[in-house]
Amino acid sequence: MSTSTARPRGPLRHWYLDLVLAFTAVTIAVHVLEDSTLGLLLTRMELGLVSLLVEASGLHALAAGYDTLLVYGGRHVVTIELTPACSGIYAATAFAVSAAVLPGIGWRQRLSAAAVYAPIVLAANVVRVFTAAAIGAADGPEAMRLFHDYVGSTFFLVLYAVLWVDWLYRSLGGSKHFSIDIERVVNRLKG
Amino acid sequence: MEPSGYLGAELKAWPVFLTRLLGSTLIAVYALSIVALTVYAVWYIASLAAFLSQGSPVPSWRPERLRVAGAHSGWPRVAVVYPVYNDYEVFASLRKALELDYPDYFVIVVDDSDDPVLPLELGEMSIRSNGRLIHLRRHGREGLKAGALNDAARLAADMGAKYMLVLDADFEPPPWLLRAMVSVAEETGADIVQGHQRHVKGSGDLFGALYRAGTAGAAVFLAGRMHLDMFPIFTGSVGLIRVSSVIETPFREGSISEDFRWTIDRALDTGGGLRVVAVHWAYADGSVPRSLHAYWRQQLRWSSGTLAETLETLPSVLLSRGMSAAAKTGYLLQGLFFTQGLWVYLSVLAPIAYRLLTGMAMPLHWLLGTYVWLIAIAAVVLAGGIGEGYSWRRLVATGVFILPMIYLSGLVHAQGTLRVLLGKGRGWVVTPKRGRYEHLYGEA
Repeated sequence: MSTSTARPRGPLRHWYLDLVLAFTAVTIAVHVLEDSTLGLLLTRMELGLVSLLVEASGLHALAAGYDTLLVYGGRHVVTIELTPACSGIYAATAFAVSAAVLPGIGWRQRLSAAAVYAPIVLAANVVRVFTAAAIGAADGPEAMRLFHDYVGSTFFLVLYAVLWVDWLYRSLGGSKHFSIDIERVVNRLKG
Repeated sequence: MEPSGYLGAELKAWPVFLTRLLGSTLIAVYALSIVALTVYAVWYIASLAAFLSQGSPVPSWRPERLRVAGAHSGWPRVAVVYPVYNDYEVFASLRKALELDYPDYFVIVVDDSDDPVLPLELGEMSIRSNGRLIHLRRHGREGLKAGALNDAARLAADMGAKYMLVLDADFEPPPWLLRAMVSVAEETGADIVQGHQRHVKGSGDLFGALYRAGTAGAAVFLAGRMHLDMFPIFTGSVGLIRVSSVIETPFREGSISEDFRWTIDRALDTGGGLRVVAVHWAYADGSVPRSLHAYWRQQLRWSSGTLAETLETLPSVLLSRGMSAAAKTGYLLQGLFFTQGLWVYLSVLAPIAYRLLTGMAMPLHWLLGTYVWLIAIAAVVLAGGIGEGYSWRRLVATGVFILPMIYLSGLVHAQGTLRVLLGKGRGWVVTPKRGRYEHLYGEA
């Protein structure tokens, strides 16, 4: 049976199930990564990038463990803990792996997700964490929390969604479906 | 003095047991909510990807083929149906409907109004229309919108119409709409061609822009679902329906989600053979709800109505032999669509309750599901905004505004879900809209 006449062709019929399985795999993979030594190393690396920005801005950073950074040099001293939910590494990994498992995508597009889009996600998160830290150092932990919980998170989620749509759009050639000149088609129909 | 011995041990153990049981229940509820949100997120992403990959059918049919079949004008007769209840926006819509570029059609206004002036004005307009506009006056709103559509379908059948284009009172069709939708229907043999409810009127502010992008995203989402064979539905307006389908399977009278219910009933009556073709480019211009309050009441009706119809039809659909597994999955996801509001609040409240109960953070506090869900919804809405030709600035503003609106909508959807689960009554409400006549009706 079909509820549509435009019957799904080939692998399209299985896209939903394929994607459910793929997202389950992504979730498990990211969860495993989070608990692995590699995950700790990657978190430390991301925190290192934040430290570089902090130092470049004239503030100072002191690592306290693999996922914690003390930021000082302003009017306040603040502690940043890079939890998995805050980490750009996992967000970038999720982007790249999701793109890799999405059906119907060419290998160049999959590669672009890993080589171009995932680094943008990571960089955006580094900037977000740095901005939160700088605001905290200037105005205190409450200001940092406010930025982190609302402004920064919104920025990050919206950016992620925009990047995701942009990548899908380019990879699947969606623009041609949005630019149909239907009036012209109908005029042709009128003969 | 504390009791000792067996009684004392029991009194000490029970609070611990109950606390742990409640804690475990909260973890289970949280895990379930994340799974539910992820399942929906994947549905959005898969549908969006399917649409971007395939688009939706575009007419390629030639009218000469139909002339051979012997139709009088070369095109099948169509009834454009406007069910109306005290909605003055219908005047703007009727003017456009009477200007459609189609050789053989007429307009039926099914008028349930109890407003003292509107029926008189509609009657006048009908008299002046030279038979092109039929004012079908009803009293008592029997069967609500479903009853109105059934009466219109019977009249359309009597007048030889093959299709009926259902439009809500505020929807103004562009001149080419009928020709394009009929072409797709004839070419594909569809029972229904579902178009895009384009909410342009009143979309100038941020709420309007988001609502418009959201409904455009919904059209894209529906077209994607069609490719995935996941139960695309009639959405209540801008749908071209084969009249014989409605005669054979009438709309369920009294239902407040008569569109969804009809899709289910028709799919069951045809042994799963209902053919729905969703086309994102076929639009009519409607109005954004007048205020947040109006939006709230609209969403409450949708959420309670959809869940109620799902609970009523669940056994029949699940036991249906004709429907594919994908269609049943689509039906379930659509039927439980508005429960997402409940799930997202459970995903927020369960960890808080766990911390209050145990003084510790919830283990397995895993936000990926929520993030993916938020991003997937935002992606569909942004795709809608792109389709509507939004500028980058407007897209970003819409993207930012969508996040609080998701949680606000979630709240009303949770309320609607709980109302049904608790057996509370639900009723039909008319959503006050923006538009040139909005000053003529209140927001009771």
